[in-house]
Amino acid sequence: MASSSEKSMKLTEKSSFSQTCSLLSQYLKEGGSFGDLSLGITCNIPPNGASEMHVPMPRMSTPTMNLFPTIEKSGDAAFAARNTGAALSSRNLESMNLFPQQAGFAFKKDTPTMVFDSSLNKPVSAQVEPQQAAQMTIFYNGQVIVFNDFPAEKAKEVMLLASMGSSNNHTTTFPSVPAKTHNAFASNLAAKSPMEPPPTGPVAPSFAKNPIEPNSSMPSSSKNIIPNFGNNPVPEQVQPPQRSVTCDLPIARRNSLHRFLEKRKDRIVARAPYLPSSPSSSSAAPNKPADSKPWLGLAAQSAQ
Amino acid sequence: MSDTVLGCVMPFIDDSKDRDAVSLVCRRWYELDALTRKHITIALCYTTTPERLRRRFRHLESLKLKGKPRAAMFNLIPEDWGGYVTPWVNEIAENFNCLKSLHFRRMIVRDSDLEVLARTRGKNLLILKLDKCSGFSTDGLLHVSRSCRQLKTFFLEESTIVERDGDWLHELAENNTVLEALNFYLNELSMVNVEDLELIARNCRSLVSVKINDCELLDLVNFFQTATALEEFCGGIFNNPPEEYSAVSFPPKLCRLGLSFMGKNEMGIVFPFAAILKKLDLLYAFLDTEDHCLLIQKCPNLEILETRNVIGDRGLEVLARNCTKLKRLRIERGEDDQGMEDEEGLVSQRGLIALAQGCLELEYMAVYVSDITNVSLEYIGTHLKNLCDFRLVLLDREEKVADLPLDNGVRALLRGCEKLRRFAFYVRPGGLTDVGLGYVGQYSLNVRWMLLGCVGDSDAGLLEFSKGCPSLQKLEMRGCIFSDHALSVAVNRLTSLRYLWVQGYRGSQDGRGLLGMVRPFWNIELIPSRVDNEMNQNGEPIVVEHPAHVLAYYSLAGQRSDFPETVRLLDPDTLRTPTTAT
Repeated sequence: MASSSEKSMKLTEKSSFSQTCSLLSQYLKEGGSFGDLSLGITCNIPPNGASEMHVPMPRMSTPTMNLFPTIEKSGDAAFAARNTGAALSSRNLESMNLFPQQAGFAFKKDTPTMVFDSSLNKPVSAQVEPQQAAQMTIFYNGQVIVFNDFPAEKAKEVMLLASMGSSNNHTTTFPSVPAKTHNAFASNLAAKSPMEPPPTGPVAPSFAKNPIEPNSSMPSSSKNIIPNFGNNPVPEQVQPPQRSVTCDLPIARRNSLHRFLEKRKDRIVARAPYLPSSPSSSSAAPNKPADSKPWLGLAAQSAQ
Repeated sequence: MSDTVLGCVMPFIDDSKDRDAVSLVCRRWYELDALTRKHITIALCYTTTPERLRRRFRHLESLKLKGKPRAAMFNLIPEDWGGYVTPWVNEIAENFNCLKSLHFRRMIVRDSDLEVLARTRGKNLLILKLDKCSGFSTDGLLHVSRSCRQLKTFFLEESTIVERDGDWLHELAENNTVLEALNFYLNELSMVNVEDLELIARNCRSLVSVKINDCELLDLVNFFQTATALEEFCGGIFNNPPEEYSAVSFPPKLCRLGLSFMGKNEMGIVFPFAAILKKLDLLYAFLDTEDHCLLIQKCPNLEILETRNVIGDRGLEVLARNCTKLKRLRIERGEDDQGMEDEEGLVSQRGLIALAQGCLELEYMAVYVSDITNVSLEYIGTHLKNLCDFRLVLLDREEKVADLPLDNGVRALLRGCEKLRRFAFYVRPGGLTDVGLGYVGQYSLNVRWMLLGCVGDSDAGLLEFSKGCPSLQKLEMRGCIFSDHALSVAVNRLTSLRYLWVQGYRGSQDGRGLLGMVRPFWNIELIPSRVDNEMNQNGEPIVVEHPAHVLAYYSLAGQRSDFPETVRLLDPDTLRTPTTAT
């Protein structure tokens, strides 16, 4: 099981995500396409492994969810190749360096807008030459979004936008971008990506039947976010994941500390404006505003 | 051995393990133990029933009962998961006439439970601890403070209490003259009257420990003057200009202290008696690294220190130089939101190596590190021979870690620290390989509780691990890559295991892979993965995914029926037929 190349594992242990992936890949192999699905947005172009791009999308928000659900080596070589960039095995983590996490950003509410922006649904012809446009797969916020016919220069723009929001490099955690960048990114996608009409294929009917509205809060498991495919028979052999999604569970914080840090933040914010005018006496270190770190408020002031 | 002799010996056998052994000798010894056992801890309230407890230990004087899994302290368990005290309280009310001490931890307590307890056991109850509990209000507390006039310890730390008024404390002050420890630390109670605290200090001359909420410290000046026996104080808040706090003087015996929100400018009030401090709780203080260094330098007698990683390696070096009597050290994870972090607020191998060389008496060490090496773990194994509880979490924020995997370091630590009873090791993918996991199994001979996070790289590691750990009773894992099948095999191999909690494993959604661990008396519960709409710190709605949990435990009580919709009991019969669920 350690080896990613082992083919012996059977589907019985597949995660729902692996099944989703295999469904997707099978569907793509069969030449299906679906334009406004909850899981992804795909145009009908034969997979072109060589020119495919992987954009692990920055993820925002509190450390609470797995951004990149496990990607498994599926029997479908093309699909597997597409996914290696985001596979969660440790050796592959490097590939996520591009769009590192910025802790503390949180703007999840934007997510659905990006993915399901209604403007994405407009039908677009899929006749594009493979040299200029290729398939792009985006892993973002627990979703896989596949764009066919994505022009190379647009892809660069997308990656640039995605990288703009990130300043630190964190391999092991998941990337995020600030909300503004993210919005820009979303609108860019919405405005410029070529799209296909809704699917007609037999593989993913549940997607088609569950159109997600922009900004929907996705309460049901039949919508995106790693849909629960646990009980669906999947005809394809898929290998169990190298790394479980859950390896990327954020480290939890004690309730008591969480509450304290919230209070600390409030206090710092509340106090900060008064600090400069605080008539602190000259006894004990005076309460001067901590120049470089105003947020430290009460506690700050570098030594003596 | 005659009953007379045994009767003389029995009272001197306190250790519960010894008691367990005694009770297995023969029926007579079993009965004698049952008659004379004073204290029982039930680590999970669903492992047995109140009736069973009463049938065997009718004369119990002290009971500790735990409910929700530990993960509840990290907000990982649904609030209504279970752990209701009601059936226990009813049994206690009817039959446990000798009960003097009651400790509920992470359980759901109703006002009606407190009322029943107060009415039936109130006269005898000396200790009542509602420890990280929820479900009750100050009305329930009022019953306790009216009826339990012998109460010496009243403990409510970190419980979630609906606050209607502050009458409960007033009643306590009016009725009780024997109180020794009062704790409503880390609660959100705001209607408490300081005068009632003063009254308690006046009436209860044995009052040695008071831990309270965020109460302005300047308002406590009279309290501190009155509570002359006080040895421990935690809580308070500083809302006034720092210089005003010079008016506060603490009771002469005060040696265990935690002043919430204390900053650099107020820290000076501790200096006069810092030399006698044995315990310092800085978890909720506003000190930076330099402040830690200053304060710790003045505390040569420190035995217990709890703080956040803002202490930094520099603070730990000061600690190692000055506090050679240190027995317990807890370093929690501080702020890591962008822009809010503490400068220098990182702990690494440097700090650990200093500690290992300086604080040789350490028995308990729990630390969140940002960087780590094998060598630092080897130092701990070489020097800290008294360590019986070691917990390490490698934070995930720093991209680069000096030295992974930690296989050899862990081996050295486990081999060196032979007294280790509890062991937590939470790293990241690649932090401990299958080989290292095998070492953990091989060398943790006496470890009874273990928490593993993001360890191993395949099922083979878990399987190798499960060949060892002969004493392991309680295993918790999070974010591991093991399949449910491997979990099942491991459970069957770990001979002492009686409790397993896992969040984040690789398995079939319906839990079919867990069928391998099905056996008599072994309850298996699932909390399926779910997606929640929550608020983030900025009040913005976010979508949060919670991976599935498995909780499995031995129980004589059968499967429970008081579970919420978020919990599913694993029913082997349904699973064996190919169906459906969710």
